Amino acid sequence: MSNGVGLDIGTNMLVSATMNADGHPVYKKQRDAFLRIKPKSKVNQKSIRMALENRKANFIIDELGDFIVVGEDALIMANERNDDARRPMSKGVLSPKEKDSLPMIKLIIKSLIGNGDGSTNLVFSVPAEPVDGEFDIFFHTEMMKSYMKEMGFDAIPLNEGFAIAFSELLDDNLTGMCLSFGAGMVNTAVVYEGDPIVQFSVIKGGDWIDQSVGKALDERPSMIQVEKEEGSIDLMNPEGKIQEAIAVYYSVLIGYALDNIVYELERSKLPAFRSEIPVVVSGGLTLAKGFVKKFESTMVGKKFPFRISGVRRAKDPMTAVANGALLAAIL
Amino acid sequence: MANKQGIVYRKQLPPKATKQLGRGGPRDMQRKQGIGYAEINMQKIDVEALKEILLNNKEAKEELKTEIRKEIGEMKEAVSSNKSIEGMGLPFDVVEKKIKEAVEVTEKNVRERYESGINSLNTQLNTAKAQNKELNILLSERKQEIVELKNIIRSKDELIESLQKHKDKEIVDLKSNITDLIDKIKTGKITSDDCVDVRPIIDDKIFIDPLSEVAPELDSHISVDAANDKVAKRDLKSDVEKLKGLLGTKKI
Repeated sequence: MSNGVGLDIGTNMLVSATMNADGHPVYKKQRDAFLRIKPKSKVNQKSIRMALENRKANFIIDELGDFIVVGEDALIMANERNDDARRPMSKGVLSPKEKDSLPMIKLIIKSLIGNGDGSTNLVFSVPAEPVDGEFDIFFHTEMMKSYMKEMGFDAIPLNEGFAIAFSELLDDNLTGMCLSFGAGMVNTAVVYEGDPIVQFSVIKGGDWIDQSVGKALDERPSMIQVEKEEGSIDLMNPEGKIQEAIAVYYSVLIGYALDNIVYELERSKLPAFRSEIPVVVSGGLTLAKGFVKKFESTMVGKKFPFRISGVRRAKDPMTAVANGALLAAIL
Repeated sequence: MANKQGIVYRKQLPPKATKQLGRGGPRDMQRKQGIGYAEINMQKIDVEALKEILLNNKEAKEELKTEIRKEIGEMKEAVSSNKSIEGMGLPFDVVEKKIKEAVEVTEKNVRERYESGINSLNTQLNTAKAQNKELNILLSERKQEIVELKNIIRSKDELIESLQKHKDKEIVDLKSNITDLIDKIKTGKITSDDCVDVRPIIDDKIFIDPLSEVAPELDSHISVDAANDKVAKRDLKSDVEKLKGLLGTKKI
């Protein structure tokens, strides 16, 4: 069985997957964020470096001697400094306008996948075309392929929703509806017997919740993000104003995604589904406690062109896309 | 008169001055006939010389025979005249010489005329042979062209047959598609809203790597460890086999 690499390139998180000698997957994750720290003097430069090394932070030193903290530490240090970390990607894709960020994401990717031998298969996730906005998937895909090729990989893009199907619908005859609730967008794929018959995305996700809640409560979005991810929020029983607001915006986002799904499915030429199909939800947003219940309750009254056997969360929502991409790379 | 061996020939011949020659004896007769023999022998030589050349030319042979007969007639007439010439007192050797000259001239003329005719015939024959050769080459070329044209016609026939078959299949497919479409329209699966805009679109997707010219020198201090897997470990080999079974020959 040939080796390969799966790579989930998310707006908020990069996840790589490889297979070890026992046939089990090995995942590596890195947050897709960076924070620039400009030293005021040479002494200050040394002290910053020592501080970063002591906290075992990942960082890059650029030509000017500036420190660029990357990953989780960038987010934590930005909050410590009452600042916002920068994101190389926005709404699921790289942007040609973020030229300064491109070298950072390249190094982050390299830290996850290393170097290939020139022909190592690598399958990386790409978002589907959005139905409620425009972005340049072409630039994103070509840029990523260029990076991967430089690192010695033969890279193939794979739709994010379809990658979840590979990972989670193996016991369902590769038939079902897969939704990835990420930081930048919600990706949807309806798969019928291995064929992705409908694929699309909406460009609202976790970041939109952070910004909306922050705006409503006059708080910084990065602070809302930390609360959302680390506050052990229960969407069915939120505690405090922030969690309540987060739960409300979760409902709005799930409802918006489902309305768009129903609308797109009505317009699509779907095959006659012979039996009920499962719905699999994945992505960082689904880690919140009560997400599936919230999803099911929001689904009530929505008319789908097929019967749904049930809603379930991916075995590991943070690695499902990378796992599906890895299976496609090994295949 | 006595011979050298001493045998005496006793017959007394009258003196030459008193001798009256009748010129009617056998030798005279033989001599007279001898002229005719000589001339006829000359004609025989002509015939032998030309026989070889004219063997295969019937027309020329006939013409030659006629000519020879004519010449013999003339000769006979000449001999007859010579008699009178001889009778008029011309010596025989002069007459013979003149006859020989006449025969030679006649022979030369006849030979030249027939050689010229034969040469002309040979030239015509050679020309005809050359033309025949050229015609054979042309014929061979035409035959080859005919073979090639037959091959082309055969291939065209095959193409036409194949196109005909393809056309028939397309017609069947189109009929089937039309039937399907009519059914879909009847059942309302296709409406006027399904019209697809087929206007040409510009292909403006050109990728330019923004880092291709600017490659900043960065000192990376990034190290990422494998994530602790809290969920149940997946069996990738089994999953890949399942996926292969489900996808079959489908492409991703």
